[in-house]
Amino acid sequence: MPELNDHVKINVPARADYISVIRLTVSGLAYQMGFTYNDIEDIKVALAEACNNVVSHAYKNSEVGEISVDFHVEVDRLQIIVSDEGAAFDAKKLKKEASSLHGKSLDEIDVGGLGIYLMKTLMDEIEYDTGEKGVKVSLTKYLKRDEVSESEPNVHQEIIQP
Amino acid sequence: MNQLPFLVETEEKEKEICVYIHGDLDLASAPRLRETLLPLAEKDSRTLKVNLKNLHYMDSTGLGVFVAALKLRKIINGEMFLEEVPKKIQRIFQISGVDQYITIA
Repeated sequence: MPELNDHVKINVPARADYISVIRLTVSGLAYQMGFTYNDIEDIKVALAEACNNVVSHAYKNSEVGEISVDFHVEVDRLQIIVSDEGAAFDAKKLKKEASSLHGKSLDEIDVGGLGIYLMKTLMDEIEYDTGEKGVKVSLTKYLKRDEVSESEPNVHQEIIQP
Repeated sequence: MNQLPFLVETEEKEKEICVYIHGDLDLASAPRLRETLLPLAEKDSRTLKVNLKNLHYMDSTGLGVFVAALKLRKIINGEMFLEEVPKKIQRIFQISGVDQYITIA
């Protein structure tokens, strides 16, 4: 079981087929921390979006890079830091452009900003740090204590629902 | 490396084409859906039904494929809708706003 202040770190090659491994890892960790089924799904999508950005934007052509994912288990939250050592893309600009498609016509929409919009919407906190080498994205989700205590000891039953 | 193998199946009928998507739709598998769905969306005037009953995961890369397909359908004035969409997948369509362009049956 994860304990307070546990730190789990995984590094994988920055390739699309490794993102499912990261999703599996965070599912297991968040499940053991007592996150609800819906929260686990939200965390999986948000984290995958951060990894998608690394795979799609961080490294140039033949450069073989890595995605580093640091999971910090806190008493009331899970903080995940996704970092790369690639050419820093303009995350601040992207963040500004990140929006949903609500109210736009099909002809004018561009799905480019949806990944960052989903990260912002699905997590409680999101921070960017664009350094000289690479980008760091911090994603935080809080455990909703009330929900956890109300549903105990059957907190994990939700997982079997479709 | 997906939990379940990603698979796209098509079933052709007289007046419709059904596309069944199985597994996780992500950055790794999206090109395979694109390969099957976009040519159908572009050229086939039969009703296009996409069944998501066995889709276990989707993020913005999957949304991108559906939006591309919808744009192609609009050009040829073809129908396209989604069937049996799991709740967690429906949530991604709703949050992003893509649900306003596609009928979820």
